[in-house]
Amino acid sequence: MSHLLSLVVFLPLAGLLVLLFAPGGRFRLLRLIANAAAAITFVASLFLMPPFVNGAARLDASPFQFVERAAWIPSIGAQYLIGIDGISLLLVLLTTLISLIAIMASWNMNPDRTKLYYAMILLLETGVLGVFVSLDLFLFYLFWDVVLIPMYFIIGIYGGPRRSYAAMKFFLYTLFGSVFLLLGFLGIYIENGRATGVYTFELAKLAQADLPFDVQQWIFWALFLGFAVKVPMFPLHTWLPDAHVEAPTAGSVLLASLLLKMGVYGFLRFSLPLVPRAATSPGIVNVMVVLSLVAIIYGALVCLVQRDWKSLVAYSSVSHMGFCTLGIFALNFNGLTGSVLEQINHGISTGLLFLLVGFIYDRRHTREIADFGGIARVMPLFATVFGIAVFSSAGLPLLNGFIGEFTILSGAFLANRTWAAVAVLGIVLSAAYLLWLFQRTMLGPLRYDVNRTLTDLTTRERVIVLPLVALAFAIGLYPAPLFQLLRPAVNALLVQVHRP
Amino acid sequence: MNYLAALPPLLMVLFACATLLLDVAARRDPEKRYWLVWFNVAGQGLIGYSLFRQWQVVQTSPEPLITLRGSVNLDGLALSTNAIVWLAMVTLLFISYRYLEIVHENAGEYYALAVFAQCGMYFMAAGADLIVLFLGLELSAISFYILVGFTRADRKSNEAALKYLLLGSVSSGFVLYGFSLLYGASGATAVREASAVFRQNDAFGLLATVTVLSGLLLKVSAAPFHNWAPDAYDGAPTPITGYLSVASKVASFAVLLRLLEVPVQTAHSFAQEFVIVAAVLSLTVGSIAAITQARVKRLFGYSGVAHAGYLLLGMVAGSQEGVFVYLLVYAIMNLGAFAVLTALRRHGIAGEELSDLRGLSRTHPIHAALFAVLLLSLAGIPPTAGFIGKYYIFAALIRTDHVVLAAVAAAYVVVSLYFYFRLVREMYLESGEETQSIAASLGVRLALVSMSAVTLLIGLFPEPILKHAALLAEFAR
Repeated sequence: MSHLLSLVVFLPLAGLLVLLFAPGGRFRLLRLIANAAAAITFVASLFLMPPFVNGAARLDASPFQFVERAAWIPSIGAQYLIGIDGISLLLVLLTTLISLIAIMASWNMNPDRTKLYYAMILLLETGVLGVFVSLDLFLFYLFWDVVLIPMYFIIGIYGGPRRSYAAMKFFLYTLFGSVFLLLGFLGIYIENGRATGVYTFELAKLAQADLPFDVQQWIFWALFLGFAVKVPMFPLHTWLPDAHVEAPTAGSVLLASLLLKMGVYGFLRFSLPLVPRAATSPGIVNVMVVLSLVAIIYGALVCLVQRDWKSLVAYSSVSHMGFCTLGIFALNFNGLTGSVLEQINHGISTGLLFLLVGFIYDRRHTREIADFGGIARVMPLFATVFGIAVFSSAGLPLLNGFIGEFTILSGAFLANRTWAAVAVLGIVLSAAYLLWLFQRTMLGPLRYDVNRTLTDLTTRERVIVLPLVALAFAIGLYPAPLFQLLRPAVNALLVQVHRP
Repeated sequence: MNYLAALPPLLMVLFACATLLLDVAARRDPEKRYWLVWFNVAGQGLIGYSLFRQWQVVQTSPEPLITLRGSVNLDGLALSTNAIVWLAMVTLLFISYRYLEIVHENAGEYYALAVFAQCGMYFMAAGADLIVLFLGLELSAISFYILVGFTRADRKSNEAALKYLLLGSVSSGFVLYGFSLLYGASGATAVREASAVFRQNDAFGLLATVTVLSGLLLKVSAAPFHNWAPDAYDGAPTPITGYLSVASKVASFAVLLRLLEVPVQTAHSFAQEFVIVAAVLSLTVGSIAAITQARVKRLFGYSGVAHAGYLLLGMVAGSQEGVFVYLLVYAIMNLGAFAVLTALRRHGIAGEELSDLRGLSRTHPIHAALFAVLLLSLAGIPPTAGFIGKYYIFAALIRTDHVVLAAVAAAYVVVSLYFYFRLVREMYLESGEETQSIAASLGVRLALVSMSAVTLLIGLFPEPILKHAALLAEFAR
């Protein structure tokens, strides 16, 4: 039995321990340790790929591989149980890549309090990885809440002027969601224990429980509070703009590319299989779809009136995440697959956008869109990369964003044509606000003399954006392997959801 | 067995009296007072060993151990309570010396009184007879009245002591009156027979329930009887606040559990409702009031009220295990937190405002980090021990179909995170005006490191604790 998956999850934690015992004043050394830890984790996670693909060929019933099981808290039936299917694998790879990029993007940070900073990013990485691989509800919840703590400090210590407020708001909102998530989990745990006599937190066992419909309903709403705050779904999204805008660049990247995925992943992995009858009941599906559509349209409309570059990107996340939840509650193959793809794509393109906003902020110390204009003349490479990011985010064919959104839309169309029609409007709007942003900042004459001296992307910055740009093209041009990877996992999920 | 039941209190009284005598001997040379600490550490070592021996004997004994002519019951409740009180007492010894030096109140009575209080709490935890229970209550209460006012030069301390004395006496009066009703109705002072009155469906039963409950809810500082707590916590010397908030609360809960049992068993659904109302009120008042406090110990006073609320909910849900786990966890994290607060008292600096913590993460990164762990635990965030405590309460509530109560309790976790993180914000997010050193003696550091390490350890690997709690709940029946 291989322990590769555990290794990947806990490598950042090992890096954190090394970091803690390193001398505090040696900025370069600390930076090196953090970068090395993230890089090693990324490489280790790549080693998951070949055995996974090989194993998927001779898959029997369960799509999960790299399953590790160990006794942990037998008194309450919680185990150390981890494993990955195609969905988890993609998200794990995204996590290790984005964490590495976030750490690399902090290369030239203020050397003050670096130790804590890197330690928190590494703790966050372990937490997020744990969330994506846990197959035990108790273990999952532990990782889920662990993620909150480092993010609080990353925003609160290293963020912008309103960082203290934004950090607290983030923590309170998400904690509010997660305590109800805990109650929901406890509800399933106890109801299942009563019915079967065995108290366990194991996901696969709990997914077999056939709970009464009204119980499923309240559990669904409890889980909903936990996951929807994280996604964030309208109207629980108000923490997001504050947190994103105040967070340092790496923090925004981590938030957008990884933390938001946890919510969507939660719906996929837990809400659907654990309470399938509630999750597929027309009442709940309608509410979820309406909330998703409102998020798509509302997020896009709010983007149109933003003056701050970063908060525009932040609100665009609300809109994009609306697509993800719409795909889930289309409850068919295309919808679910598209939802996962959209998560990956959003991680790539929004991560890229936040990085680029960070690069320009480092140079100009402003994010007002009105302060820019004609930047393409002085920073041609930056403008090119920014253009790619914008087009990818807007869902232009040949780039990654298109694949996810198209698949979701086809799923939504199969489920209900009206949903698809409204969602398409969201794509049009997203093209509008993103292209307008591009036009206002990059094109036209150079409006301010201060901007004349801006330097183009440095070598370090090029290295950081290169993998994301390459992935955007790769996924956009040839997405077939991803579909292949996701098919068994999504099919298994569909069987669980639509079981009689 | 008889002698083993009597050994710990005997040792306590002996060491307390010897401390008083040695203090007189040390009067001429105050430097020698330092040795009083070590003398008492040695004493606690012996007491700890005798408690451990009890544990060993009880575990192998088939029947409940009511000894000393029916006055002491060595069951799981007694043993675990005494273990927690002992832990609090040892921590008190470790963190007090430097503090007492700084406030110029270094006297042997301090240690003697603390040990007398410990002795009282021994009988609160183990008493199987109403008279013994009440004597234990009074012995500990009187010792605490004096300890709270121990910094004589400080007017706040005096005021706190007086307030605590007045309200504490009222509570004792209530309890005593309730006990007299129990005796009157049952004709017995043995808890086992007398507590049957609570299950009587008549005026006696009702009146006894209400009086005893009211008196004991005051002792555990549950709303609406909590008013003394913030003042007493704020005015008392900080190590005593820690001792009071942990040991006294745990011992008072032990009395409550011993008399009313878990789940709250009375003939009157009224009693159950009474406890529910008190619990929700405690959560509300404690959490909301803690938000606005500018003084650290007052904040802890109100948060202690909220913790009492969780514990009462555990009683409502009938989870003896849950209450045990929560009490232990509460004790550990609170003792660690008060070790930090004690160190804040420096020469010339009271160290009682929230802003005195400002910038601690820069000047004392390790202290700040460990304190942050404890605060996370107090708020109940995984992976810390506090979460395990809350988990048990929530699980028990849902299991007994108190879903709404569980939701209310869960929502207050968010509020408690807010007020505990006001401290974290001061330590990490606000930058300090000047570098200040804190009076972290070796004892304080030891207490802080061990308590926060245990907090994390229980949070990550709770199995041993949970197993023991199940065992204790087993032979509490």
